[in-house]
Amino acid sequence: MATGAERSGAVWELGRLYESMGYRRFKMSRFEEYALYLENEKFLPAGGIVTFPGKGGKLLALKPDVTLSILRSVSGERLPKRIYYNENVYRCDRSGELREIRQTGIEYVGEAGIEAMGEVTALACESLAALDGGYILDLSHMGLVTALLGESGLGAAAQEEALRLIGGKNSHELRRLMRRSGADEEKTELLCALAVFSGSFEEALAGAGRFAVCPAAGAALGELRALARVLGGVADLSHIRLDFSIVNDMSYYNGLIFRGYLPGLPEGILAGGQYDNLARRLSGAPGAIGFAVYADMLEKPGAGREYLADVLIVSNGNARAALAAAKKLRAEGRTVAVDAPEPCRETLVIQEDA
Amino acid sequence: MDEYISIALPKGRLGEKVYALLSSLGYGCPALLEQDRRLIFTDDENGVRYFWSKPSDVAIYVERAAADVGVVGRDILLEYEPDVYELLDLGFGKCRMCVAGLRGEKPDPGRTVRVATKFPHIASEYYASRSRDIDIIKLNGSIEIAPVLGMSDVIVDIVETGRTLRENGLEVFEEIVPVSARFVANKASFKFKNARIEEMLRRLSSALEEEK
Repeated sequence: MATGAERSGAVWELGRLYESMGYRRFKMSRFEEYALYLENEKFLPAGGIVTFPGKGGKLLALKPDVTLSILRSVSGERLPKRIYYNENVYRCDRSGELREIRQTGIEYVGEAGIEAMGEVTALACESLAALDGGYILDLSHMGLVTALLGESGLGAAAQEEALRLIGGKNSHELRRLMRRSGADEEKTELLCALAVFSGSFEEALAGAGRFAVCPAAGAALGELRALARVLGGVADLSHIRLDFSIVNDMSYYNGLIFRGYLPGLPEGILAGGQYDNLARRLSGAPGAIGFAVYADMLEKPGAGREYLADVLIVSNGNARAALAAAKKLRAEGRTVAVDAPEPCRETLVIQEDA
Repeated sequence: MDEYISIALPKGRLGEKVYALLSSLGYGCPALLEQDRRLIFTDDENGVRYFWSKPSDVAIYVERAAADVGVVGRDILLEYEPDVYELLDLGFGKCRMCVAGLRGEKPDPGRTVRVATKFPHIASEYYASRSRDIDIIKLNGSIEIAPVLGMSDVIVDIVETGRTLRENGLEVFEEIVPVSARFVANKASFKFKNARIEEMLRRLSSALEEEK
């Protein structure tokens, strides 16, 4: 497991990874009109937004999200557009405290065909691998989940509730909800099976055929199979799992979705998916797919043991020799700290008579 | 065993019952039953690590991955809505989340209802779903006393046998949801310790099936 310091360092290198795949950096303004976020509230992760009045009384917001601004910025441009960002966003946490969250990510704006899906999923894997080699990427498909919910016979409000229960792998309450709503037994069991379905990508995919109960569900599974073929050559599939409890809002996400996890972190650090409807509305593009890495999570305690530097130099009062040793080690690409009280990986003691 | 599963148990009768069940399924940790001052109990042979927690904190420990799995009442899950997997309804620790008040004094729907409760989120969601205006009085215990003293019109609380209510001249007006103990897992732990958590879930499900 990589240390917290290594992961925090690696997150800044992600920009180079994205540039190497032809993604260009997007730098956004600090504020946006609040109306943009209000209209797309369900697309944003939960948490309050900070607003304030701007010139002419227009309500502005400290940006809680980057994707919406990127979509607006590419309106009318030649597609596909490959964009990455590295920005601070501002959201209130559960306790209502305002937080600054470091977020980096990519957006592929344009027809989100199998090539784009493969490219973005592979980049998600590479991003996670750069942070920790023990990562896991969970994949799901909102097209499949939405199709099965549509087939279930549940009303719109009950579908929302069912989606929440699927997200919690809560098959017992889902079964009760469907029975209360008078859904047929076979469809109930199918949706409950979907909620608890997970496994390694290829193996699970082979067993997911039972969910192809309508053309839309069949098409979604077809996309996942095509994705497995594309990824087979470029990503280590042993890190990828299929888990249909990974769900996002149905009105925004329509295709492939994913969430990435690192050992030692209590929640997902990477999240994303395909959101064609939003792309069409905000940029006129036929589709879009992307993900965000929540870099602030790497700073939390428990994100691995922190080392101040690779080498601790104990100077023993010989500053000249200590600084010379530090310079030499830094030239070798290692990080050093002289006479620091915090732990480092190795210790180098300068002899008093040196 | 290189991969430990850490388990948060709610202090009290429910936690003891859950431990007895887990222990019978190959997840024993005899040190847990010794009366000493240790806080965390490990069993190397079975690869488990247990700790006791205040029932309302179990979900927090699991959400933050201090525990991989835990057992928690549905009341707590509905109140705090932690981001965890709710994998199994254990079917015991049964009670009901209810609205109760002084016998025969159901509040007039024409005015704001004063609600005393330990569960402000559940209470506000319930009344919002009925478009009723309420005034929440958050208490931490002995909720039943609030209507007796005239501080609230009703209480929203869990009712097991109803005896405490009866003894204080109260009655149940409405049932909000049935409550029972749930087996929950941290979402990231479920990925990284998948085989072990799935196996624990499988053993628990079959044991409960057999009991039926």
